[in-house]
Amino acid sequence: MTIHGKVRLTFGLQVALIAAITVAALVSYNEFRAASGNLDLARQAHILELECRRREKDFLLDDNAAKALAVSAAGKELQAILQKLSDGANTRAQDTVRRASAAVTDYLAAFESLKDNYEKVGLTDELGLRGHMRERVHAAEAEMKKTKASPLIIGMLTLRRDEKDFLQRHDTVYAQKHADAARAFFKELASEELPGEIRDSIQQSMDEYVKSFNTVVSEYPKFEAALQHAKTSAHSTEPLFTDMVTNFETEMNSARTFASALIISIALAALILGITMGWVISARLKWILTQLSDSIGSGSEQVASACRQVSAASQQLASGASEQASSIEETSSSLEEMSSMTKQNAGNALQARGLADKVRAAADDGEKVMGEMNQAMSEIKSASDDVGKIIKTIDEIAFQTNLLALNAAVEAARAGDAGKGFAVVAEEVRSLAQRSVAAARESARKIEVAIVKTNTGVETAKKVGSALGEMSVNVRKANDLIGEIAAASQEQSQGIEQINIAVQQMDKVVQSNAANAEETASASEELTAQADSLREAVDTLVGSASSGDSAGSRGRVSARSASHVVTSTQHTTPLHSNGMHAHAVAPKKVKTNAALERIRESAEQLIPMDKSEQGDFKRF
Amino acid sequence: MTDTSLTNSVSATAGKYLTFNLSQEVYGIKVSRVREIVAINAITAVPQTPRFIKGVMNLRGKIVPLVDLRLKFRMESAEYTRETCVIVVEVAGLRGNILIGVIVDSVRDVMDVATAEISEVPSFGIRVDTSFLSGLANARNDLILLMDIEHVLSHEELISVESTPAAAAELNQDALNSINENATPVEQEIHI
Repeated sequence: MTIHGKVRLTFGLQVALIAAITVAALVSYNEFRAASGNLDLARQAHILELECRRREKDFLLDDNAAKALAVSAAGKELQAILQKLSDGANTRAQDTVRRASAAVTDYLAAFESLKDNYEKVGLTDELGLRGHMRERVHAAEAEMKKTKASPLIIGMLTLRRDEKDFLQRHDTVYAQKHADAARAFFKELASEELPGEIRDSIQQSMDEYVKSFNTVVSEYPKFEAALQHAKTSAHSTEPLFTDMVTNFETEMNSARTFASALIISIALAALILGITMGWVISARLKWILTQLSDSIGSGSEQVASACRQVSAASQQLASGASEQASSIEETSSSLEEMSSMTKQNAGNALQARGLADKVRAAADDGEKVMGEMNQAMSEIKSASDDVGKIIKTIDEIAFQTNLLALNAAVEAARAGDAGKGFAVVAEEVRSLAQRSVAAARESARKIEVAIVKTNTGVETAKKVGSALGEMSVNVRKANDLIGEIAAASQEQSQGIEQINIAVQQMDKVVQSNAANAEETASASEELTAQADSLREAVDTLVGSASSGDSAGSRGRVSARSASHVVTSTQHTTPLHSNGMHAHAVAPKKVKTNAALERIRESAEQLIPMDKSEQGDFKRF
Repeated sequence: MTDTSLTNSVSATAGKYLTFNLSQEVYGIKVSRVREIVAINAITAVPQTPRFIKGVMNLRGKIVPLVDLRLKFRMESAEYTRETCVIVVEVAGLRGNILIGVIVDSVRDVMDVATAEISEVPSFGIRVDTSFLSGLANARNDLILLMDIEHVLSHEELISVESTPAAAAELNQDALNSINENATPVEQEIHI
């Protein structure tokens, strides 16, 4: 299981234990509170019971029906509380509650009979039998006052006195006296001269009165008994309530004791478990921490060396970026030159285009002129032909003349001497004809030459015309090409502009790259420092972790710090972090210097290496 | 007055000659034999005639047979050019003189040939008939072959020539001779 899991398990166990403690405390507290509530209820019941007694006394003293109702109300309340107790209480207290409840019921029943008895007799003079008696006496007295028979009134008053005495003292003596007085009264009534109706009415009223009194007298023992019953019942109830209260008190106390014991025991268990687990976890943690710090230490050394490499690399990068920036600036200036040259090219191309246009126009003109010349040549040729024809005609004529002259000469010769003069003429004519033939031939030859030359001229003109036409076409092509060159130069110029912009952006990027590389260098140096401080912190951590540990882990730590010292002395580039590191290790260095050599030797024995590998290793 | 034998001797006489070109050579005919020189015109070919007789032509109403001298001398024929001329000669036929047109390359001149300038035709051998040449004249740096036109046209030929255009006539050696004989007076007439 991982340390994480263990810590979680421990924490979970602790939480579970705390939850258990809480649950137990809650349960106990609830039990305790129920017990204390029962105790309160029991005490309240006791108080109510006493209240019942007090109200009963009030009733008996005050002769008030409301008081009797108060007693029964208190009784009902008491019974409700007892019912609640019997519902909520445990079996141990149940018995006493039941008994108390029975006793209360008994007492209340006794009180009810007492009250009924009391009410039957009459609580006051106007109520019950007493009221009846009074009404009857008053009726008889009214009749008697009509007759003004004094002895009857006296006898009636005597009866009334005896009646009050009995009601006050509840003594049978006064009942006897009353019976005697009644007999005396009825005797007097019989003796007295009275109208019959009045006598009868007095007789009837007084009979009823006496009968009611007798009923009251007969009811009295029952009242007494009921009173006695209520009293005894109350007396028997009293200890039951005390007992009940005591029971509930003990119950509450036991609940409290149980709760406290439970909580203390669980808390103790949690404490022991927590301590044990904490010890185990801390041991495990320490082990892991030692391992971890070892690996972190080596890792941080590697990080430090890597940082130094990164630093060197980023410094190279920075210098390279600055070189790049300078070459980009050169590129940019070259591009500027190129751009201006391209613009010049475009301008030249435009000028060339104009020139080519002019050339084309000139060629077109030349073509036109050539056409005209051709026509002229043709005309010359036709004229020459005409001249040739004429010359031919002349030649013909000369030939004919020659022939004629020859004929004439022949004729002259045949004529002999006579024709000598004619022969001379004929000779002359012939020579003329021959000259004209010669002239005609010369002319014809010259005309021929002229015609040939004209033809040559026509041919040449045609050639020149075709050459001009070709030239025109070529010039047009050249014009198009120049236009394309101009457009291309324009586009090239634009492209160069864009390239220039791109190069400027590149310049910015390269500059930011250089800045970033420098920042990276400084950051990596800082990182080196951080790695060293991390190593220091790890050393501290390991020291704190292994402060109470065995010598084995201490040896490991010192070995690592020793190797650390070795690496720090082997660094070729002294960075400030090295100084920091050396400073940090300085206290241990004294102790570990002797062990260092041993450890290195033992390490070399453990891991035999080639010389080249050692060289590689030393670079780290 | 001149020796008219058929041997290779100088039979030519001094006098006026009409010179003409045939092929590269210059020939001369006695002016007395020449009637007229005309340019070549429309030739009417006549069938059943020798090859050198090109046909007949109309010379102002007269029908004149035409002999191509090139063909007659077995030279290669040539195109007729503007300079090609017909020399109308008068030769003695069976019934008096007849006119024959001789087609030559070109007519050159009428010139006097002195006797001193005339030399005889060299003998080339028995088999070579040079009887139609009457002599050689070296005049004006030109060597002129002096032609006896009546020898050029042999008897048979003359018969055929004569019979062809006009009424058929017998032509024999005597007639030829007589033509030769008669040639002199004509020449003489011309010279007069």
